[in-house]
Amino acid sequence: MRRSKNQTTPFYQPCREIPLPKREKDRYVDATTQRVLKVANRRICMACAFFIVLLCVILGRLFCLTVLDYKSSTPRSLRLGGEENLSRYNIVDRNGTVLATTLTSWDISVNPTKVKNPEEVAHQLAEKLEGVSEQELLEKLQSDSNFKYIKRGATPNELEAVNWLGYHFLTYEVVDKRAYPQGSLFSHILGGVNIDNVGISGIEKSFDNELQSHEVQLSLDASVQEMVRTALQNGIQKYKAEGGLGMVMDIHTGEILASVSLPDYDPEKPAGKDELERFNMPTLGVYEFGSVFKLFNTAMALENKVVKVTDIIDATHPLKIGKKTMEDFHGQKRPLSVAEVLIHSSNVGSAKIALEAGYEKQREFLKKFNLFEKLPIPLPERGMPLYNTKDKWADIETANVSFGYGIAVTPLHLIAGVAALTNGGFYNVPTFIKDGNKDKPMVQVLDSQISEQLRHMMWAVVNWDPWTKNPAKHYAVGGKTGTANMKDGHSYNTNKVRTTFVGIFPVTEPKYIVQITLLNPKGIKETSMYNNAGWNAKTVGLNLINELAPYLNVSPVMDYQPPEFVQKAIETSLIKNGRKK
Amino acid sequence: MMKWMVNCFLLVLAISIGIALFLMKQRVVEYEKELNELNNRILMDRREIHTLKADWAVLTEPSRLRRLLAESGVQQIKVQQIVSPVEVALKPVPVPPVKPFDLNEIEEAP
Repeated sequence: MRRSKNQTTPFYQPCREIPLPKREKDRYVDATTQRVLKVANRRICMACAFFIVLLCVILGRLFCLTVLDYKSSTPRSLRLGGEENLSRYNIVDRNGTVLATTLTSWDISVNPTKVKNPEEVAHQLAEKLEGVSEQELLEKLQSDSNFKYIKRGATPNELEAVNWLGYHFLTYEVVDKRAYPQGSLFSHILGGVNIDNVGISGIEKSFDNELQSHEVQLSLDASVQEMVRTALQNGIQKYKAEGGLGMVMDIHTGEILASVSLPDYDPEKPAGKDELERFNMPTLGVYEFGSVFKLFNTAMALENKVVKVTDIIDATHPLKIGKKTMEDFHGQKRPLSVAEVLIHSSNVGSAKIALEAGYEKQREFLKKFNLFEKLPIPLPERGMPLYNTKDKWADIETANVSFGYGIAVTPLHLIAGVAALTNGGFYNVPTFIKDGNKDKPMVQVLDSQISEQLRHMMWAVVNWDPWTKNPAKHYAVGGKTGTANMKDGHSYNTNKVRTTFVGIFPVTEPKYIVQITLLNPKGIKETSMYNNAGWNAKTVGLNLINELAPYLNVSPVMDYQPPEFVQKAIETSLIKNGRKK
Repeated sequence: MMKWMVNCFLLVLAISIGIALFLMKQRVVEYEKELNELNNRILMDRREIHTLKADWAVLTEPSRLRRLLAESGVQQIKVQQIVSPVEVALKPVPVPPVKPFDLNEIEEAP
């Protein structure tokens, strides 16, 4: 029911009707309404501003996602898969040859309780699966367990063959398996992974995180590695040695091109191997290297101006220090020039030079070549040198160190040190990574002229005797041998030796350095029953250099003439030893 | 009348845009499917290349190459075979004999 305008009720109070303004001047709003309107307007403006800002943010984000960053915003399903999907990336050599890779394989398992005729099944599976015996399978199939692995890491061919048998009780699980296409060639350096593909040794362990996201390129060269391994293996067989190691290093960059430790093992089947097979001698083993250390001794004396290359050292009689008497193995029993001390590897001469210099200079010099500390190489297997850590060395210790006893270092320490002695005097920490030392500054540890003199003397060590065969004579090889007695408990066994040859080529402009070490080689008829380094390790090393040089693009040096002091030393040696041709 | 026409026009426009969007969406779905198939094929090819690389590494294993070379009678290069470019004597290239010029062989122009 509609009420009339004049009708009044207790609750309904008709108010005054405000006429709508016709014109602007007629508009009238009272103060309260004005205030309310003002607040409302402000709130509407704020809401509008909020929504405009929100819209701008959304538009901006859309612009970023669609225009600026469209690649990363592409849905994963639309993105290219491929190598980024690998669970563990490849390890390759310096030329890109695959050394370690991840391949898809299958774990085949069985529920033995569902197998009704285990004999027949075992027979058929044994025919299809490689490396699994029928007896072994039968035992698994007859067990009371609900789950047994038939084969872990089966190949696609094996999987297909087993699948065709049509057994419902077999289950297949896809897994990634680490494979080493080069077999045992790089076993010690690459190391291995556990069943979950986590690195447990070698490069696999050091670069465990990196290998999750990208490939790792080593400085090693598969061809050089194979040459070294073959030469070393032949040497071990020929000289009936217990084992050996071989290394090749770029003398200027410190990049290791080959590192072999024999005996070795198949990295895909590391279980059950003995300690020697799994031991990485080049980086982990610490050894006394004997006369090779005379290179450091000679360089130290020349650097400290204790002697000159033409100075004469009396090596006529054995040297007596306290109760110990030192003798020369190749006893010349005459005064020798410093060059001749190195050429004839005189213990007496070296000891006298070292004693003249004093233990402080000797120790300071060796320290510059990192011979007292672990090398910062990218491998978990790193050996710590052994030496007398006392403040003062006795004369007998100084004399011993001068010819490589009383200090044990890894072969890697030795090769890096000799490289620095002969490359112009620059020390590089050895690296297993390609271009690993590219951005690192080289440290000069020896005067370049002394380094050059040392190279010429090393050439004379290898070439002074024209009656000695040198298969690599055209490559101007310089080197030094070392024969050290091996320890049996706390004393030295004079029948067991460790022989080492370190060679650089060519001495005119050295590019590579090679080290060969044989463990306990025996004398054979060809070596007149001698077992020292000059007869075995040096021969292996020179044969290796002869094979390596053409591969490494090292040209023969036909017109090499040693400097006068070396010529004089050779001339004297030939006359005194009656070796002149 | 005008208002009605505008409304009709907008309705037609909305329906047209709707149909166009639907068709475009269908095409995008098809392209996505095609792209996924292509990506899967590329992925499979890459995996195959990855496996082939491992196979290649096995086939070019240096000890295997050494054995193959020995079987085929290839020997290691000798120092005497390496010479510098200066030492290589240039062999004279045989020049084909030039036929003497005979005026009688020239045909007269017609």
